[in-house]
Amino acid sequence: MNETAEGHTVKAYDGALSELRQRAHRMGMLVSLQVETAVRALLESDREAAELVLQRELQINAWQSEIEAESFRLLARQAPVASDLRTVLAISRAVTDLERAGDESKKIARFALASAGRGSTGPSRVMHRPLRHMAELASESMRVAVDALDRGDAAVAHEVARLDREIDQEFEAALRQLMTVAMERTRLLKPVFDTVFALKSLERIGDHAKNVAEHVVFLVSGADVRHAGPDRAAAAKATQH
Amino acid sequence: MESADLSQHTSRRFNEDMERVTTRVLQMGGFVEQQLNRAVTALIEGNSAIGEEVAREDYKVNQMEVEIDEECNRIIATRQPTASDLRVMVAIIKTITDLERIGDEVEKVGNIAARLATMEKPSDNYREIRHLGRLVTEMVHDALHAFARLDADEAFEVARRDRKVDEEYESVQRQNITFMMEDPRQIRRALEIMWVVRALERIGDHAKNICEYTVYVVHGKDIRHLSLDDAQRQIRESAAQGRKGD
Repeated sequence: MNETAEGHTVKAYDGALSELRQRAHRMGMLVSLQVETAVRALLESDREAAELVLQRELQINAWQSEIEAESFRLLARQAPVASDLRTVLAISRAVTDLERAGDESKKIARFALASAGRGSTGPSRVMHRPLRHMAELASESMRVAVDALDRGDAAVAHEVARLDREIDQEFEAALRQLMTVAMERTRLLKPVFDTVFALKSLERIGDHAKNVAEHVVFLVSGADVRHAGPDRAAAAKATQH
Repeated sequence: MESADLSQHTSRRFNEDMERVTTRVLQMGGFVEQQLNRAVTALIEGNSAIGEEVAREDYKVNQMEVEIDEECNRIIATRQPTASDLRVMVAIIKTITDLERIGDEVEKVGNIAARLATMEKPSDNYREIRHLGRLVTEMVHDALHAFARLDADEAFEVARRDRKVDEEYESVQRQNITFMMEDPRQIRRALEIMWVVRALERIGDHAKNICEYTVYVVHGKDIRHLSLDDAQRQIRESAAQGRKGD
């Protein structure tokens, strides 16, 4: 923060801002980890892993509330301006996306529990590779996005957008493949549905990571890049579900 | 410079700003509601032109979000609102995010309506979807009504309806699976319908979020991660404590 001209050099205040960033970063890292644990629970019918995801989800929610309360306190007491104001606003927005991404992992963990409860073996074998691959991509894009938030690095937005496109393509391909499975084996429709929703959750996590990266661009440059450019339009077209 | 005058001046300007922004939020909400209605109608009537138009017009919702958001940021930066005013600003920023996401869901419904228009309609003529569509449209409408009047009781009442939406959602999805098993030729349509039902269910979630922001503004309490019953009980208890303390 080089806002010396604006007089924001008070140590405690700068400390509060960087503390806010660190907390958002920690929350984001846990969200990223949740993705892989949830998908592992689903693929291996691992109840314990699923329960762990549900436990950690409570932590994520608590962090969201704390970070938002702290952002609010900073806004109300310090009335930050310019880039400090943008930092607080960007972090508030980012934690909303992080919390929603966390919700998606929770949904996947619930499928895992329900499927284990039915004594089902979980998603069809052919879906394992796409699920695992999408989980890796979604988890990575989230990690890259929250690292960028921590460092205030807008340059990685492209990287996150690229990962998001890759996730979208993988999602489309998996859906087509799944449709074939559904037509051939109608008895397996319930697991097919759960798999569709798990894939969809992973695709959403990619979107949230992309949103976080856009908040970083706003934080650094003050530009609102949401809904802008052909990237967004193309991505929206590719995932009309 | 008289500081009392200045603060009065600032708060009058702030009130004007706030009124203007609130009006725009309600306009945005009205437009989203209208889009939602048209998307569901397009699906039920098999009208691909309307479906496409709804999807095409989503950019307007996005535009409104960006404009209102910028306006809010400007107000926060220039007026430095007090804590309770700031709470309203934060709630507005969150509300428009949810409205924008409702817009995204509506866009999907519009696109699917356009794709399904040429296909044979299901035997129940989308009776369940019609019903679910009505439920969530009313939720969105009433959530904004509660927000505009800062009526926390109404907000709680609307938020509670989300459970009904979730139940309907489960039931339609089950029925949908049954359709598919009975007639595998229906699978393509049934999968599309699945996304429509999913979108409607999500719209219910977003309406519920808006209700939670209203409670946040009125009571200063973040109830998102509480059950509605617990939230309402805690609010009642702290109100009773407040009275005792007087």
